[in-house]
Amino acid sequence: MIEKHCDLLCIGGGGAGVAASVAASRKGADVLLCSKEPIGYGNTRIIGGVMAYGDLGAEKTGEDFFRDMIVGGDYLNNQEICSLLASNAHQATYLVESFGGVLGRDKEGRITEEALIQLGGHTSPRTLFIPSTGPGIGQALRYAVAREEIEILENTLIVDLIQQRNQTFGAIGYELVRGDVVVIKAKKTLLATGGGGWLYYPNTDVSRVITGDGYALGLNAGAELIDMEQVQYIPFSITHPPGLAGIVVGEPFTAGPAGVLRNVHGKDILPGVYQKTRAQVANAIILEVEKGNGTKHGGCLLDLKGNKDHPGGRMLFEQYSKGIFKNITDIIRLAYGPEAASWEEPWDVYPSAHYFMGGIVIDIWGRVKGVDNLFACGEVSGGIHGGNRLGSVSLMELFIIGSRAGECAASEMEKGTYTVDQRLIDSRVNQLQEMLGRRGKNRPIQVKNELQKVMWDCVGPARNESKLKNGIESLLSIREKAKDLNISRARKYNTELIDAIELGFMIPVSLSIAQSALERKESRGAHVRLDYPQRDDRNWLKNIIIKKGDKDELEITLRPVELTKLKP
Amino acid sequence: MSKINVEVLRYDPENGEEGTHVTYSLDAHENSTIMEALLKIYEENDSTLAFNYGCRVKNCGLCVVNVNGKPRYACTTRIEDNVKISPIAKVPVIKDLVFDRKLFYDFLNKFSPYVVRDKGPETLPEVLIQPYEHIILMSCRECFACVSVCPRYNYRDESFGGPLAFVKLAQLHYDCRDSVDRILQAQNMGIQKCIDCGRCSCISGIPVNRIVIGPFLENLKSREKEQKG
Repeated sequence: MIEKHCDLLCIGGGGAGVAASVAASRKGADVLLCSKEPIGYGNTRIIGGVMAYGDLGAEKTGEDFFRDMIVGGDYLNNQEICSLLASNAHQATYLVESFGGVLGRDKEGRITEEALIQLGGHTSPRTLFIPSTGPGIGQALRYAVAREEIEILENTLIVDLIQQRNQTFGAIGYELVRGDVVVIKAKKTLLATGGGGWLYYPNTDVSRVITGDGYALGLNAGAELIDMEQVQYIPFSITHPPGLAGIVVGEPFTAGPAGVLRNVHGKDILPGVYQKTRAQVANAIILEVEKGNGTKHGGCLLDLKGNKDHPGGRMLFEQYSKGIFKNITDIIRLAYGPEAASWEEPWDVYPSAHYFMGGIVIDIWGRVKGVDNLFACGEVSGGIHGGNRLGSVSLMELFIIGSRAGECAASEMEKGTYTVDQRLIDSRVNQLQEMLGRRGKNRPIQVKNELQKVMWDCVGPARNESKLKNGIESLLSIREKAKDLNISRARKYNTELIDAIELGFMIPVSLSIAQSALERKESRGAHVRLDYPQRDDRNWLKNIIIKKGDKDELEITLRPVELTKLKP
Repeated sequence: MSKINVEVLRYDPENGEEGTHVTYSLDAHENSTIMEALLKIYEENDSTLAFNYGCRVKNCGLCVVNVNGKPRYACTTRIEDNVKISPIAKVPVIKDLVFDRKLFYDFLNKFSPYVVRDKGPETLPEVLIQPYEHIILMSCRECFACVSVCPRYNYRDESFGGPLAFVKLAQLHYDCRDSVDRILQAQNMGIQKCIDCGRCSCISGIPVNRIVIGPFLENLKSREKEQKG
């Protein structure tokens, strides 16, 4: 066993965790940054290549940007945080560039209208390309960490927070390479573990480490989860062959001004598709397929050909053929052949799980509501984007809130302590060690795969009461199966142990999504109820809150949305 | 759908043995990838098989393995019957197909691997022209394929940094904000020991020789000439 001490423990090495670590370190805090993957990976590294900058000339007021976020999010958003983001968005660009990244510019090297693009749901061009795409940002994150005196712990899976009476004191983890248990005592702990798209594998485009760990760690510590039913399905992903299914090939904006979304009979199902939000486009496809108008692979057809002769669409074709989306073209070629790759033939597409709008309730400084000394930022935090996140906004958001959380944690260090009852730690460490070599009936990966299938089939894009009830029942039986796992004895890189630990997170997170989805009896944002197809403002301008009760069961409460600035 | 054989080089550090070749028989489609095969083995057969992957769309660079002896992204490489899969060469293997990146980054950290500025930006946002070389170098997947085929590279020998380290220095060399002499650093990393064999061609398409090794060696040559003159 290894024991470490620090002021701030950041769990998660993507953009949010790095931004928080750097901000805290610059304020003099002694930071330990811990990550399942190498630092600078996670979903930040595989982003499509765009980040919101804000409206030129209105960077500091951000009124239009704010309104777009709220309208796009179907009014479920945390308006206080959205307002802060809209008026500080440009700071994210400055921060990324101070790390060593570079955002898009015009020919003179300036950020002007020429450099900005307009994504679906945004009413003006306010987004910058990232010429080196996700890997460029990932490497800038590594630069930033190398520049500071931040201790890093890679290949480490956090198993539990050390917590007592709504206060955290650090965490316990498993370091994969040496096979050590690590106890990290920290005055402040920050969750930056990303979302939970892997709950829907293979129908997801997220990185495989995104198993919802932070939501479960937060729940256990006493945090609230908000609107977990709001899972963003990015509309255009591959439907077949099986090995490539779920991989993202575009979002509304990439349909281009001349792109057409058709059903199997050739009918245009959503005119003006390229200016719609992700939720609107995903929902159109979902409903069309439910009506029986889908392809034999269960998708709709995205016909991009017209863009090749369209002045506004030509730029997109070039980005796909040799620019920032070239990788996607390679995948299309592999899945659908060369004619599809050159946009001569349409693509068979269906939505795939991309982003969780729901998550841990935080304030504008990333402080977790109801738990002392615990912070959260990035996708693991919730409620900011309401029912639908606009494209390019989350990358901006994680840098803004991540930095604020790091700064705030560093400035409140005197309130933290790592003096904690040692027995709490010992019992948890024993539990972890006892998992090694456990003999049981079920292989963890099989139970994990079973859960993923239930989530897609019953708690996926097209929901109704009976599917959700079946889903919850199946998840409860999966929870029983997960008590009887077979785990190898290996200490080093024990993949079955990793699966078992992740499964332990995935179960309560899946239940949170399913129960919230059953509760919300309307369709709003990304949440599509076939049995309640309309948005219902009279009854459902409410946030759904999940918390762990006294008996470890999940408790739901409803809270009216705080419509402080903008009402429907 | 047809049955194919896939041979995987397994290595378990806790058994202290050399790796063993294990053959698995599985179903594959004509479009099946190496990644699909590894996942199938893992899910249906043996979930102690350690391999790394992230995005499944060759963005993250984590899934590189040797396919019939050549480094390839598992996620987008089509599978074929009797294929041989092994960890990439020249890197410390942790278990099965997973290797350790830490030694490399510990070495790189001795060379200030981040933008070092003389002065801060004059305006915010900064006026910034990003050369083509910088764009393409910053999209490096850090997948280690280039070092795995370099005949000169050995992770135990710090006198030669290897192609990935040179790429990392070149990222900063082409960054107009950086003020460190990265070519001098490359010299200290032993770039002149490069035998210029051209094998470190990047599987992600970065022209390593044309924009990194070539110009750096050229530059060092002319510096030496100047010194002599």
